Amino acid sequence: MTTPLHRSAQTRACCAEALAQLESQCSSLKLAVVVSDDGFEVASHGVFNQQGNRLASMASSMQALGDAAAREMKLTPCEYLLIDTTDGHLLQRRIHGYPLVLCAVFDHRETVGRSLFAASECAQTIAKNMLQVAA
Amino acid sequence: MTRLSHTLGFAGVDQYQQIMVRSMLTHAAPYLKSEWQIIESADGQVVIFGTGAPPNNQHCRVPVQLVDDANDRGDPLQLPTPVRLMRLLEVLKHAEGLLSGEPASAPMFKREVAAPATAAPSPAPFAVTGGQDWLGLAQLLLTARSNATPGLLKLTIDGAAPLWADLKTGVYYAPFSLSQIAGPTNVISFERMDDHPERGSLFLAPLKKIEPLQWLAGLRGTPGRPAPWVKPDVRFRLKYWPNLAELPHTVTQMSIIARLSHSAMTVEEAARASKADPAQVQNVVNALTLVGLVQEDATARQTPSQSPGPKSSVTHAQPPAVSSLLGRWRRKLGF
Amino acid sequence: MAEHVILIAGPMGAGKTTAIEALSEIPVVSTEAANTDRETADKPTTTVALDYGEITLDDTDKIRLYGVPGQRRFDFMWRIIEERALGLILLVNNDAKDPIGEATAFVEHFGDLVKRGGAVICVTRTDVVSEPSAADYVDAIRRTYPEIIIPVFAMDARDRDQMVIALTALLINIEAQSPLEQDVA
Repeated sequence: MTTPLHRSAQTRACCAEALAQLESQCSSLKLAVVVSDDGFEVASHGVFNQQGNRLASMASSMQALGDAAAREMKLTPCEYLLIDTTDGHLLQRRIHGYPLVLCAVFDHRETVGRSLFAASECAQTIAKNMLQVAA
Repeated sequence: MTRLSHTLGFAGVDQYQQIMVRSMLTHAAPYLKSEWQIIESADGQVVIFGTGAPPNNQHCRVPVQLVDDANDRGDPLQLPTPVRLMRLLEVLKHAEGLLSGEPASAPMFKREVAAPATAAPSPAPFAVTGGQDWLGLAQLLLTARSNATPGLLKLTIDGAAPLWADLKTGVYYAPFSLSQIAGPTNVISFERMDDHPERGSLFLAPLKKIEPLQWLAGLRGTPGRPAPWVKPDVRFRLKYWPNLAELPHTVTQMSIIARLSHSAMTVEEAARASKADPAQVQNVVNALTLVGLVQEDATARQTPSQSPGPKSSVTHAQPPAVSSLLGRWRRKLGF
Repeated sequence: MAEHVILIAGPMGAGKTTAIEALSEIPVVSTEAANTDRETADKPTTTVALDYGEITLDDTDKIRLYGVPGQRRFDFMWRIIEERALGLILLVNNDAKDPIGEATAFVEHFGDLVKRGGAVICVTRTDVVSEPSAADYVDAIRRTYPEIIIPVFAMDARDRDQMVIALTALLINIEAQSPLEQDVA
């Protein structure tokens, strides 16, 4: 049986490195979590206690609901999800090629466009890191 | 130290079935008290050997004494087909009961180690041993439930192939579904017997718990009237729901059961609450009592003068309002 | 259009998605993800948000079947659906490590729904492991809720007829919760 992604040290390291990079580029980043499709926390930045696990479960559910809604509309799978509030916004970005999702929370200083760009960059970095490890 | 052991020989086993049995023994191990192994799987025969030792106990494997070995091998059992884990597990558990010296439950296969004559329980008296009516059958089942002595029941319904029930362990085998028994006018005949030459092979067939048969006999024993085992003018409260997936039932009967599950009621009260005919309610109470799923509510014994009094059967028979969710669900299903 | 929500809950691997597929008249909306927790349930995928199915009653009404994930880490989904639900169908696989413990934990978690609406327990995989019995489940739940006698049926979640029996029993039980006086009047 293969090791689940959330228990793989290499996967966790790949994700943690990308999250640190994201944090260095975006001072508005409040927290970020990389989660497996079935709701386990793989890596996190800026979360406390059980907050990461909780966010991982919710992110997994929301991503699955996004995929289900897209499927019902005969669209391709959900690329990203945005929850916008006056305090800031929560953004989820699928990591291509892996059953992983990046979930990041930015404060109100960030524009949606910029946080979406930063999250996409981070997701690509994770995918690239994972490929290098596999090679 | 010698240890009692047991072997079970199964004949007519092809290679595929041998593999299945080996695999099943692995899966069955956590549910068994002792270790069982296949010690022989020659052409067409599998012999399963129970050491009587705890599973995975290396020290208890060697010193064993075979019991009834020759007979087991000389007259092997038939493996139930298709090969089922649960059936094999039942057979092995029964054999374990014999190994540990526990009182033997009803034999699940052809032979068992003969108990000393003095240890054999004397059979309880059965007031009814045969007949041709549902009431007699119900009374026989009731006696069997309260005095679980070994015995077989052979029941024929409308001339079909017989249903066989083991009265002690409360299981039956029928080559048909009891849900196919429609209408109260079925012609039945039944007979209780101590044993039958084909008992072993019969009980290697897929068995079911006897509740559906008790339910059916209880429903039909005394239509619309209190059965002899049911006290009139008493409130009843459900203890357990019957397994409706296995017994023939109507939605009205379910409604009656649901009402009795919420509070203790007399037949009349349950009829009003479930909007059912009191006769139907009485039948359900008769059946539930026979299966042992209701209890009398001793604190709420009701005298006839306290009874709210029967309403007309027209009122009772009214179907639920179609505006209710249940009513629309019933209408959709065509109930 | 009135909303009649039935919540379908139970531990991972009990057959919730299968039960909804058996009952639903529409293709089930599912939110399955690759299951990495194969120790808890050895199956390739698991529900992570909800399963949704429908049964049309008439021109105006539908019964909406919502299945929620079995893992406790998704209990926020449980609460979302529970608030809207009329009743609970609880599926428990009899071959679980502690099926009685699982059943009582779920019944306690959904205690408000069990009391205000109704509940039915469908025990699956009884063909694999026959014990505990239905009575064992009832007795265990009675220790927490002495006045509630929950219907417990041995069911095959794949069998539509059996699941219809479970749903019917639930709806009947919900109706039977109504005070006797109203019915008699």
